[in-house]
Amino acid sequence: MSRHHLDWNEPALRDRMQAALRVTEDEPPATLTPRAAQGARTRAPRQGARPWRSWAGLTALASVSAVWLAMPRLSQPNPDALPIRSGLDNTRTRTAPGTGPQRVAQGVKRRAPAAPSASLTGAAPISAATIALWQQQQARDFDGAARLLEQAGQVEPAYQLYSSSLEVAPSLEATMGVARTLRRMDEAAIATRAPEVEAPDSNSSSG
Amino acid sequence: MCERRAYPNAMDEQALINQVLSGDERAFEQLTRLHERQLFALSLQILQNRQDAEDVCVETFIRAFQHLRELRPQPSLAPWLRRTATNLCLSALRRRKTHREDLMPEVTVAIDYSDPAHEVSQRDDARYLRLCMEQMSPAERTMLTLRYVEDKSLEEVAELLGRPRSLLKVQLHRARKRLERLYTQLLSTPRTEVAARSEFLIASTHPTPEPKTL
Repeated sequence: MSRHHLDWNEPALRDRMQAALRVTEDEPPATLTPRAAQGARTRAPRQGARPWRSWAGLTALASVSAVWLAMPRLSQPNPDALPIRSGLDNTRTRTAPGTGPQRVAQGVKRRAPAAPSASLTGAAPISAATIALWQQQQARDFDGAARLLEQAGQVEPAYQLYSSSLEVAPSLEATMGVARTLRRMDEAAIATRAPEVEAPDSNSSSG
Repeated sequence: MCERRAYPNAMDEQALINQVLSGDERAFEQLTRLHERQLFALSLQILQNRQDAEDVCVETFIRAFQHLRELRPQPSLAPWLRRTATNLCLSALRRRKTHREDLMPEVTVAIDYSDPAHEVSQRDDARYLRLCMEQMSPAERTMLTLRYVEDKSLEEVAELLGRPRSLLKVQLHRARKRLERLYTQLLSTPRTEVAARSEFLIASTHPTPEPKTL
C-alpha cells in the first residue's frame, strides 16, 4: 500500500477527495422517471398553474392583504390621539379633548369591534375565510390559504388574484379590485351581525 | 477530472415544455429523461446514497412540473433544476445529520496538532476523508463536494448555492481548514474506533463498496 504525505492545498485536496468520494456509478435508476411522472400526476394543480406558488402570486397576495388590512383602519379613530398629557404641568393627569359625553361616545366608538376582529368572531364564512387567508399568509402557508379560499367558495377573488398574478407584476388596478371585493365581503358579514357595544366603564370617565 | 456532459438541446426542451403544458404526459417523461442523468449524478455526489439521490431527483422534477409555466421563459431548465436539487440535497443532509447524531458512535480523543506531516495510506486517507465529511455541516459538505469532487468552478458553486462568489471563497477556506482539523483529530483516534465509525457509515449510507478490513 502506497503511503503519501498529506497535502492540503487545493489541487491535492481535489485529487484526494475525488479518490475518496467520487461515485463512478451515476447511472440513474430506472424507477426515477416513472416515479417523477406518477408524482407529477398526483400533485398536479387542479386548474392549471397555481399562482400562489409563484413570486408574482405571492406579491399579489401580500399586496391585497396589506391594502385590505389598511382600509378599515382609515375610518377608525386613532387610539393614540386620545390620551393627551397636559402641556405645562408635569403631573400624570390625562385629559382628552371634548366634554364628558363626547368622551364617552368616543370611548364607545373606540371599543366597538373593528372589522378584522368582527370577522374573526363572526359566523359569516366569507369573512372568516378572509381572515384565515391572512393568517395563512403570515404563516407562509400559501397552499393552505388557497384551499381556504376554495373551501369558502371564494372563486371570484381567487380568480381575480389568479388573473392578476399571471403577469410578472400584478397591476394596481387588479390589486385594488381584489381589495375592494374583500372589503365588501367583510362589510356584508358585519352588516348581518347585531352591533356589539360595550357599556362605558365607570372608571374611564373619572380617569 | 470529472466527465462533462452536454446539456439537452434547448430547442427540444422548449418543444417538450410546450407539449407538457398542453397536457401531454409522455412529454413530461421525455423531459425528465433529458435531465435525469446530470441531476442524479449531482445528487449522488452530494448525498453519497442512491436512494436519497433518487428521492431528491423525483421531488425536483415534480416541482419543475408544478412551476413549468413560470419557468418556460428561461433558456434552459437545467440551472433551475440543479439549484433546486442542490437545495433539496442540503435539506436531506440536514435531516440525515439530525437522525444520525444520536446513533453515531461517540469518539473522544486528545487532539494532537504537533505532527501535521502525517503519512497515511491512500485507502486510509479515503476512509478518513469520508468520515470527516460526515462530520461537516450539510452546507460545508455540499460546498466541498461541489468544488472538489464535482470539480465545479467557484462561479458555478456560487450560483448553485445562491451565494456571492467572495463569500463562498471565504466559506470554502474555512471549510477546508475545518476538514483538516477534523482529519488531524481522526488520525489521533484509535484505529478500532475509526473502523467502527467507518462500518457505521457504510451501513447507514450504502455508498460505493469499500473493503471491510483496515
